[in-house]
Amino acid sequence: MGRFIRDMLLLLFTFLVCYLTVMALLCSIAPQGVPLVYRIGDYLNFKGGNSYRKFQEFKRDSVYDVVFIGSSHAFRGYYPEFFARGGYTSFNLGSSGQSPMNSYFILDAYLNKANTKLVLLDVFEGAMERDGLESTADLSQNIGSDRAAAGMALALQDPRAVNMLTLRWMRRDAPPMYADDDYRPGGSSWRSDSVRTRLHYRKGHPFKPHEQQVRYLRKCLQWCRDHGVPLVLVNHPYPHQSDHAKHAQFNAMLRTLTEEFNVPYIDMAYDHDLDDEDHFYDHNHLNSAGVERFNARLIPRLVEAGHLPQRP
Amino acid sequence: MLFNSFDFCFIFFPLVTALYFLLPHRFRWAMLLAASCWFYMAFVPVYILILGFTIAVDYAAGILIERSQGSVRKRWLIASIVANVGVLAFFKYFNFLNQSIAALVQGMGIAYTVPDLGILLPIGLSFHTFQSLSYTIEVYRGHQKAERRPGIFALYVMFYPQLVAGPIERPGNLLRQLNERHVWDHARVVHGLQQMLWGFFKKLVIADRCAVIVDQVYGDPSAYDGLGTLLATYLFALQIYCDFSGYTDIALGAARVMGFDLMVNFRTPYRSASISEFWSRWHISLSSWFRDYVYIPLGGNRVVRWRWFMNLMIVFLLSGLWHGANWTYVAWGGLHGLYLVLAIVVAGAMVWFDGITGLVRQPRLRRALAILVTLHLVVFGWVFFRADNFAEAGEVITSWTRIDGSMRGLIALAREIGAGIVATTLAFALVFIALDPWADAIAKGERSIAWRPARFAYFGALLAACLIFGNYGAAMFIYFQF
Repeated sequence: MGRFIRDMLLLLFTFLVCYLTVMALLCSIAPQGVPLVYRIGDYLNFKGGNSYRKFQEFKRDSVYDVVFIGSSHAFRGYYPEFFARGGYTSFNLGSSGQSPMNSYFILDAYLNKANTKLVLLDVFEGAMERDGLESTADLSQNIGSDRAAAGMALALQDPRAVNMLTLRWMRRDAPPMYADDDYRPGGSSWRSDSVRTRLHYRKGHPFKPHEQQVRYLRKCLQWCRDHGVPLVLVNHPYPHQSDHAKHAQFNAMLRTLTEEFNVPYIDMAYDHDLDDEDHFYDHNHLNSAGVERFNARLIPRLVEAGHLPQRP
Repeated sequence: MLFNSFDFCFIFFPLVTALYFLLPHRFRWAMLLAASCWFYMAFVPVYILILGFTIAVDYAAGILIERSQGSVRKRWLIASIVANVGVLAFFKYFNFLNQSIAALVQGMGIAYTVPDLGILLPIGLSFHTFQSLSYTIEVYRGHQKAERRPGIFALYVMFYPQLVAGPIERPGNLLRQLNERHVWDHARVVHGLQQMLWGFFKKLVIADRCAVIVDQVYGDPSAYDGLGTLLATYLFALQIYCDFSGYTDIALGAARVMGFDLMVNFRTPYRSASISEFWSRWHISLSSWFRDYVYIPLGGNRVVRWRWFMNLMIVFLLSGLWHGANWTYVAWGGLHGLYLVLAIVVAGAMVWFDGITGLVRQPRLRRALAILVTLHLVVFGWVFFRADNFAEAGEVITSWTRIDGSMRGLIALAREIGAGIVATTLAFALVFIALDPWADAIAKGERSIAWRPARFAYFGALLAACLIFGNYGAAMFIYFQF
């Protein structure tokens, strides 16, 4: 057995030498300015864009009335500028495809009772059905916290996460490779254009939550309870033509968790007067006109329910 | 549970292997049986009941055949065959038969309303059914004693490394080993792990990377020119070989670590100089199963010529049907049967051709040409195997007549998938083709790299390649569906 362990250690050593050498070469050879490493697969994200900017901008020692987290629905659906009109300071830590697993590590690394008076977690059935790869690929390159990046990569239980972390480490001093023109200070992203053509909405597919995401949503709720950070779950508006039946199945799943943790849930998926074309820029993301109307209705509801203080 | 999953690599395999060596011999079979159930139930748990039925029927049939004499023996064998083939027919072929009848009847203008069964095909059904059948046939022939311990027999059918995609074992090989006492053997364990690593490399780096291009092109062949569809077809040939032989290497390696020797299933088949040689090197456990239990009982080649040809066609049509409930698989099998019949018919003409061209004096050149021709016949057959229907296969084949030297299809492919992904896939494919015979022999333990640092560097590089270049998005092995 001793000989076997020695051989395995030798194999591990030669593997590390080979792996790091090849990764270093792929990261440093950059024809047309793009390192080769980005061409070996489609899951390694560029450093930069919306996620990079917001985690650079977010200050752990500031105090926010509300911090938004969740998928693209979050960073495209809650504008700190609109909340500022009501006298509330806020920051948007939502990111593309952010699943509850990713949200959990963001909560743990960035938020606490002192800097956040309310966490608003946008819940979306699409984010619950994913494995978290898309968001981990993005955040592993762009989030500031090494602990959060490593945590979500390991939670993914996918060998690709090792490459993501190696890439993060090898390119930690590299500047961002692109900027997101839609980015607005405070972490949100604005789109003013509207749906121009009639869209097809997928219907009839049952809600199939990813086991790990259900577990991590529970962990998010538990984390907020343990750390004394108030939490509210919100479902932002969906187009009226989207799948109501699937959303009902999602709500049924969510209800068991909200009742268990006594967490408020504001479901505005179909409780709105937005137009499917004028207020959305694609099949499920609000444009700025839609966000303005949605936020204008949401803020009074949060105040009425006592989640936000009354401001003059 | 998939071999290329986190659960298998980091939990199941290390745990089961460690327990196997830690437990006393008398408890090992029970642990392996429990582990095999766990492995199988990770797919669709309820289908373990089908396996249980097959095991119960064949366990009882084996004992009853051994105890009986004369025609009663035959009746028990037939009962076993009917039960096994019945399960296979119900789960795998009912919908196919129903849809074929519907198409035929509706074509004649008659209403047909029998609905399809809304069931999933149990994973690896064809594999374990054939393995279980080989047991009752061998007992009937008197080559194998009936197994009295139900647990050992269940383990013979369910042994996890080869449960869902073979090799289709014979009782004479595996059942015997299940009773043997295996001790930790450093060299054997290391060889097993090396073979597994080579299997993972073939699956993750070659097969699953090729699959990205193949799926893109075969998803809409009309969008690509002849060069694009030709490239996709060559890559599919590589994909299916690396996918299936990669699975087999992982299976053989995992079994070898614990001290079991499973059947060799592949011997660099694309280096065959004839179709009959190809079938002696491709999916050996299936082709030898058909040879022993169908072809030879039909009379093999010891019959008049037309019967011989018919026997070949029957075997290959059945082999096609075994692979999948679709007429394209039947066509693929029939094509291979036809190749073999034609090879017999033109054998005399080939001797004459070798003589007049002088190839008879150039055996190496002759073999190289024969390999090239055989390879292309096999690749042509894969079109039917991969295509969803005959229209798609026809579209791919006719597109080859329009190869005009332009690179439009390749450029479109590079744009859709990414030039870097296409380039690295092609580079790995070429490296693999060049290295396969050498690397395959190393993986099977038939040769080794003598210099120790070079050996470690080679396997370290393979592991690094799996991690960096492996395609972890694709999941299933192609042969699981059979």
